[in-house]
Amino acid sequence: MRFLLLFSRQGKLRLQKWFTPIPEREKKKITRDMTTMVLARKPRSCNFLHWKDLKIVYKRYASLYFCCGLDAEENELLALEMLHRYVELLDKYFGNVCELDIIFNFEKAYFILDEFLLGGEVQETSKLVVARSVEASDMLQEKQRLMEIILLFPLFFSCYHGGIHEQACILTTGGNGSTHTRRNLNDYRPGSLTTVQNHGVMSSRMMCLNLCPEAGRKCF
Amino acid sequence: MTEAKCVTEACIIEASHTCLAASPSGSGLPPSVYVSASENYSIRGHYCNYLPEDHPTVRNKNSSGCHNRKLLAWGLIITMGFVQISKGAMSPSVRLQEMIRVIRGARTQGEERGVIQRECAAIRAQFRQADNGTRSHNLAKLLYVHMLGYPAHFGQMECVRLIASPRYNEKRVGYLGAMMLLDEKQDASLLITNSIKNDLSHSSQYVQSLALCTLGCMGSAEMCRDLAPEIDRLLRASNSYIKKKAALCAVHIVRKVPELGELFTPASRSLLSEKNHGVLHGAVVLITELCERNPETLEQFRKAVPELVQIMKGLVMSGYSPEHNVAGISDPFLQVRILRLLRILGRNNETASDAVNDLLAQVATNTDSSKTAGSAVLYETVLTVMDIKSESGLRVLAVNILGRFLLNNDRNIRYISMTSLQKIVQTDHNAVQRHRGTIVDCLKDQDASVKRRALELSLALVSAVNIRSLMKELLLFLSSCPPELRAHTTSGIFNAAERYAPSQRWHIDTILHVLTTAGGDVRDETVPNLIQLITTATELHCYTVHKLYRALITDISVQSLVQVACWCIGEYGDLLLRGECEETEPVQVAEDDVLDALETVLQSHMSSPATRGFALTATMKLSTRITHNVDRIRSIVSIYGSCIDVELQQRAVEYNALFKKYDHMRAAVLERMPVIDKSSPGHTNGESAGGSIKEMEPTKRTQEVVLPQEPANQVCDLLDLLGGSGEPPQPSPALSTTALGPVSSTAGGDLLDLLGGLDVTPVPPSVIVYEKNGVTLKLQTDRQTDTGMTITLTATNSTDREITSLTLQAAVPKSVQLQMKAPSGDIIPAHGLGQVTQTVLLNNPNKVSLKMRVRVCYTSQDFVCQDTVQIDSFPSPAW
Repeated sequence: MRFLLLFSRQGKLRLQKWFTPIPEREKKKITRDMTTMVLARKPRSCNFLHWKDLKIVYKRYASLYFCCGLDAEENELLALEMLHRYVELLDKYFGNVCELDIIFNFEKAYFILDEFLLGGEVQETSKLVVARSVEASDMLQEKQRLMEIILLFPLFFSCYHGGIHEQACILTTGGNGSTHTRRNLNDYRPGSLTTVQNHGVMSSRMMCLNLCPEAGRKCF
Repeated sequence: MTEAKCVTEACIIEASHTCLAASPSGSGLPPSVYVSASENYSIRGHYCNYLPEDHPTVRNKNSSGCHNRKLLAWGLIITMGFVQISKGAMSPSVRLQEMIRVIRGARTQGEERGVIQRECAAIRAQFRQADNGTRSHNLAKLLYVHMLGYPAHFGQMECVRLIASPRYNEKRVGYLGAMMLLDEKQDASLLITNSIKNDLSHSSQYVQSLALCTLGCMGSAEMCRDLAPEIDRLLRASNSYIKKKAALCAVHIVRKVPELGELFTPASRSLLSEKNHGVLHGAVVLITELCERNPETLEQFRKAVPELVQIMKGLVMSGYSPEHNVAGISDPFLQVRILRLLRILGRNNETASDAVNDLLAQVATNTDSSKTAGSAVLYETVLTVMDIKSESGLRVLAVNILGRFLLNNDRNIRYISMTSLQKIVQTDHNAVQRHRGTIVDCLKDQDASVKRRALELSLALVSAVNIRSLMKELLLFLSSCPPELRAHTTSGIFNAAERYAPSQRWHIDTILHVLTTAGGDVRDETVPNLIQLITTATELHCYTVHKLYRALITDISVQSLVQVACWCIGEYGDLLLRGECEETEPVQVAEDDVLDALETVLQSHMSSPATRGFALTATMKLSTRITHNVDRIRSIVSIYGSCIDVELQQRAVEYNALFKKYDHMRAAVLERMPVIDKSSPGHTNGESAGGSIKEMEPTKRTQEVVLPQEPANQVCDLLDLLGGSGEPPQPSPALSTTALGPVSSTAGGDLLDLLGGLDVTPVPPSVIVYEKNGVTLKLQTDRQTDTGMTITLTATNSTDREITSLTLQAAVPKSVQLQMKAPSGDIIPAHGLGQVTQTVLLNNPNKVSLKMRVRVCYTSQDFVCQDTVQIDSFPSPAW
């Protein structure tokens, strides 16, 4: 796969990934060509196009078009399957993904893609493994961040919560219902992140940090 | 630090108050709120901006009670305090999402540009400062701006800096930025090489993964060379998460620097014993890449075929495994990749092909094709079967799979099927022929891509047997075909008709039909080709001219058709007026009607200058073919003597002169044109045999094979022999002196010409003046007078690559004037399928001995060739 583009029905680019080095100007040209070509397609057409020496495979999911460019020897049907897999991954991560999720958390969409494809080839054929590694990377990021806070303000934590050895914070996802479920008891270790469902009401006794590694959706 | 502490305290104090009204002017608000207030956002506004707009909390914002609001605000403030505190550790980009919202809220392009310019200025300013903890945040914003198409090059150095940061979140965004903003030519990409190298040996696999991902995506050749040993080391790591990434990274490296392939060969071989699908997939991709680049490696990996077959069998036969299952197929991604590798390994190799035959049969029979995933695997299987030395039974099975695909409801699968059928139509013609009906049906599909495929396939399937029925379908398709396919269709039809036309009448009818339905989309040479065809079909002149006349009076908008019609009316006007045509219903055409029609063409604004030229000449020609209305013709011609179009005016003036000064010569000048001989190779003069062509078909076929070139020479030969004009049997003295003319004449050819009734005009002889690298340049003297000479240079190409940018330059002695006409093109197709001709006019007033030097320049397979040849003697023309 040479590139993957996500764009809206209005032709606005939502995500672009180039797997081979291409000059900036060329990228813009390709993007323009792709959007015009794909958006001009009539409904109930097949999902393949020819453009220069590339095979273009596209698929529309709701308001978003997923479009990729393949070399001559690549399998178009499998590329459709790849696009579908990526959508599934996004869906799993964001929970019923919509265009807005990808707009507001575009970097997450890239991170997921980077766990699924590398250099234009599938790097992991199992959905579960991809989802798990994205989640683990997010956790690593949040953990690091939290540790910095805790290290910076030990006093603050100790006065309100009896020290950092108690559970320091609570992760909630709230209203949208995608509760972060716990996987093992290690998560209860002192200093680690704990998750409880809080349904939007915050207890004043607890310290709440708005962290939701999955969606970046912040709520209480 | 202290500031952050204050913030925290402020927010805690604030939180203890109950009056947390959403007022932006609250005195004790934390700084972050001030920031937003100064940007015209209330706290509420700020808060709401900070959530995706479809979020339930926001949706309920108006209905929620005061209590809730307080709670929200409270939470908000605490959060903001923390955002402020945790800036150093990258907050979950509050400001990023706010920025996105503002940009999205812009009503006009200009407003959006304004917002972005302001943002970019702020980002730039912050980049200039030392580490203030918001760098990753700012870069993320910049990446969004970049995606909208605004310049973001000033973030490149920031990427380099972030990648070198010890924090994971900064690295993450830094690498993301590097993949988006840097390209391999920039110096900045060199700067990250070292960081990548460090990160490749980082203790955290996620950091390693970032480095691998970036290298595998945008690594330049230099970077690849530097880091290849690291990647090789990682390929031997124990961690499968890293191994699968390293394998694909190695793929990228091999693509960039093929000679590094040998480095990875041992490691990739051992990866095949891996159980993890990700690693296995990566290994298969890597091996494919290595084998494609290096024949020795390919040979080496042939030994791994049984192993691959085993893995594949495991996938096909294994029961349901939820982790890799896609629509009932176990890991189609891996299956497809293995099949592709087997294809490369089995190509041109009996042993390897034998080893996979069974497996392929198994996959072909056991895979369910109802879903895309299954079809993808089957499609790959078919390609493999067709490419390796597989058993004939397996090949039939593969074609049948494609046939089944053709009947599939999914348009994508039909499309794929036709693409593959097209690839094998040359080798397995009969097998594909069986699906002709379905393919022709696909011409009626609504989708242009499917139509195009079906068209190409239908054209490939045309044969002497099915031409009549298939052409009917193609003509039907032409009438409803999308404009972008028309030109392709017409040229395809013309080619097919030329090759397989059952009779000349059918051929002419077909071309006329094409011209009436899609005359605007035919290539320029159609008109001369058709005229040539019409002239050779002597018995059909009357029929053709009637048909064309009727076409002309119905429609004069199709230029090509009008041109041919005018030409024919001019030539065969007498036949038209005589009106005795047994094939069409007799129509009595009056002289005036014909002239009316021609005059309409002349006057119509739709007619192009060339068409008018045709019409005027036709009118003139009619002056010797009609009896009563010569005066009318004279007046028409004289009107155009003052035409604004110079070309037309010149013609008219000349014709006028013909009427006045040279009236005695008029009849001779305006005689019927002799039969034009098409000088393209492979075009035999047997075609002039007209009606008898059908019986002669087999002979003609064989002759075409025997005589790939030089039909013209032969005609000349024969003519000389039969004509007994006293000239020696050799075509010309010049030819024998140069001793290059390949004069070959077979019995078959002779016979054919005898049968052909010799209704051909002699064609001047030609000599080969240049022959090198498969490029042949022939020189032919068309006409010679006392002082003038017309020469045609014809270049042909017998190599299997096309010759491009061909230029011919000629030099002659000073006293001779040389005029070179424009060449017919500068590209010669491969395999002698076409030629380039250029006419040279020589004027030799002093009658010096004529010499010419020709310089030939062309590009063949990317090398430029330039040669000069000297021509001392010219073949004398035949008359």
